[in-house]
Amino acid sequence: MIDSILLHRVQFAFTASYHYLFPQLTMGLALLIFILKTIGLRGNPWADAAARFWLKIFGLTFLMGVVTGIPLEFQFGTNWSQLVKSTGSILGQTLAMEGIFAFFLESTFLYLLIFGEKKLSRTAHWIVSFLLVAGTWLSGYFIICTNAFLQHPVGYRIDEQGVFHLTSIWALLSNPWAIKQYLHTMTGSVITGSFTMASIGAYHLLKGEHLEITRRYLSVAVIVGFVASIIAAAPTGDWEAKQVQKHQPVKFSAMEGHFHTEDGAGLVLIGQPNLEELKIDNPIVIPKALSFLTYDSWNATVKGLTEYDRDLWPDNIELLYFSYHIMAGLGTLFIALMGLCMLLLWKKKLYTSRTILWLLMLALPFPFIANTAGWFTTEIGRQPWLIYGLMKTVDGASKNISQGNIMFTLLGFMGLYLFLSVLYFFLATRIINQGPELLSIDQANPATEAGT
Amino acid sequence: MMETVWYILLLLMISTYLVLDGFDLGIGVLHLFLADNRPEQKQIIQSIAPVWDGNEVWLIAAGGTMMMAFPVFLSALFSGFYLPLTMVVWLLIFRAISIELPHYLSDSLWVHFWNIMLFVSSSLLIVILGAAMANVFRGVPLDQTGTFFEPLWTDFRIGTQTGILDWYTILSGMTSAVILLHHGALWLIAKTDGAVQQRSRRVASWLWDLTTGLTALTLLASYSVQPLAKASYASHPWILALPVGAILALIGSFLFRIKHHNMAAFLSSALFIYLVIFSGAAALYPNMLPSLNPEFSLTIYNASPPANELNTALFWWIPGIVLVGIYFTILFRSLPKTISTTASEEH
Repeated sequence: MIDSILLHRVQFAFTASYHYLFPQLTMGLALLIFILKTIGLRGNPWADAAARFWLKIFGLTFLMGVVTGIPLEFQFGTNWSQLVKSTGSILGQTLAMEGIFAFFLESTFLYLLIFGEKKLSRTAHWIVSFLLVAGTWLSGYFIICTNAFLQHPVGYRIDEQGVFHLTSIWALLSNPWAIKQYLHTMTGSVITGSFTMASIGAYHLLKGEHLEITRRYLSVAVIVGFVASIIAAAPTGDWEAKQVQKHQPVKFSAMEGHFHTEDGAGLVLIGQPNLEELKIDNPIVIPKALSFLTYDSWNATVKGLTEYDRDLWPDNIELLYFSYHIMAGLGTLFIALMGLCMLLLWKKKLYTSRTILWLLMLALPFPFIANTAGWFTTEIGRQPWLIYGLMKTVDGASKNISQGNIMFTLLGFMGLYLFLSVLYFFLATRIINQGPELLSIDQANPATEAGT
Repeated sequence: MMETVWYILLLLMISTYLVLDGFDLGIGVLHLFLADNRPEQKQIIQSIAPVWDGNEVWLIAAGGTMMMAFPVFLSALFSGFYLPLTMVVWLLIFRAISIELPHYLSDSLWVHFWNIMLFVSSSLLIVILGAAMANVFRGVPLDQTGTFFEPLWTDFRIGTQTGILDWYTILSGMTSAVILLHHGALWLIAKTDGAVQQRSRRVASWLWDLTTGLTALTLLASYSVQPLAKASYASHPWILALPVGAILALIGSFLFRIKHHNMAAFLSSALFIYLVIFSGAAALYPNMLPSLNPEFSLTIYNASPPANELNTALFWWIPGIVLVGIYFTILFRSLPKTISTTASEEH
């Protein structure tokens, strides 16, 4: 039976991680496109041209996000039917809200944004671009709320049969866990959006193409990327870490690689967890920093993993530890890179410094890696719980499906997603190579004629 | 009482999905036969391109609503139909990209490939939708744990050993296919002009004959495979208004079409789909998923949470759906009244 559970978990982890590569880009780009449209509204044709170009990439990415999102909703029922049976009336609230309040909004206004430039007034088109931000960001909120209930359940009671009932919809929607996690996740998404924009901008500048428009949107991307990189670390990253420490102390100790209770605990920067000897191999540690970051006091006591019952340890501490350190390490690099770009922007050297443009261009994959690692940290860290402290993961999975069936669908998803990746890279590369063009509004003619 | 309210709301969402995505699914199949050249092909696809995504959201929103209002039902249904539902997901993915991706490249092989994919995924989906509903209607081998797992097929007969595909579910799949093809053809008649409109009109004419014949056959079959249907219609004869209304709506779609009231014909077909779904649901009520052993059947009462939870949900659901109505009005009004081959070139 344990192997079926593993297959259920791998399938959900695979489809969810793959899916999230797309919305993190679209949620970030939606905001950037709105900023460009706002600049365009004040009479800057370059911003309208840049918005049009980025909207093409947005459209393709959004499509991938839509199609890879459908399986997730189905999998609640197909793979996690016991979870749905006992908590569906709660999780269904936020999932149904996402459909009704966010998806309908997105599907309607994306079409109007892509094809409405000729038909709508400038202001109306700008409002539509705002509605798209509202739709994609709302969608994110409802999903984080659904996840937050699993991480930090609120507003429920459990009856004699073990079924969860909603006692307060307001508590569910204003779950303090959700609010902090949302702010951190959305900042991560803005980082992805701005790094992608900066990276492709850098590519065009290095090739010496589309210089006028690219230089300008690149500076927008760098400013937004700098601000978002800082917010991701403090305050939102700090809030999130403190909240994990408070409510999920086992996850916290495991992700920090902190095995033994200590006063004035050090922060592990690099090193490999050694579970046989319960220590970090080859560590580089900042003394007392973990105590300070967690409790604002250099000598505070931080509990180690060994304080907790071994059954409650996450089942893959190594992966959890590395996911967290990859996320945090990349986050630090993002601040450094964008900080440097800001400095060069200020000195008016950003567009001509080929070294920094190369770095920006090559940075493209890293925000995606950081965000994925962040999700791994959250989800692997929650194990062995499906609903933290209340329901074990083994108890939430469908029990009536044989391993062979799950393996079949898992392989199917892998094959299909490989095919989607090839298509996406091929088509995105084409759009990128065409680059932005300055057109009058009458000529505005998107490459895609179909709305998504 | 609250259970019944939510059951009706859920049925409304599912049938709205079938009515809206129904026409673009039907057109996904028909487009290969109704267009002679690339501009006509574009004209047909242009009639659904702006709306298919929003139409499909009804399925997702209905899924969320089902999870919220009838979690036990969703849990049994989705895990029991594990394989076919996962395949439905794959088909939905293929269909979505088949509609959107052709426009990124004008290479004729590329376009042709996606057109074939659109045809294949849409055809399989419309057959599966009907077969799925027939499975629910016929009943499944739910046991005392409230779960079941059916093989894809057994010997195609209906007995104690049911398979997902048997003669009844295949018949229903075929029926739903012709209903949705007819529905799609009526949308094309209403939204296009020229050669495409004329061909759609011809196709709609014989699709109407097929729809009428197969619907009659499926009605008789349904009445015979599900004893609950006899009991319901015998004890509450007034629900006969639903199937009778469905027949009138079907006749209406014929009359409006031959009189060239094209939009009215399409709306009649939409009403027909709504009433077919409600006729089936009324026959089972208050059962949602009948078991072959009636003791274990899921009803709207044992599949839903307590009424106060359902009550809470109405407070956000009603304003939510009003908003959705506004979006759809904006979206459908922003479409051109008639899509002609020249207009589709502009885009």
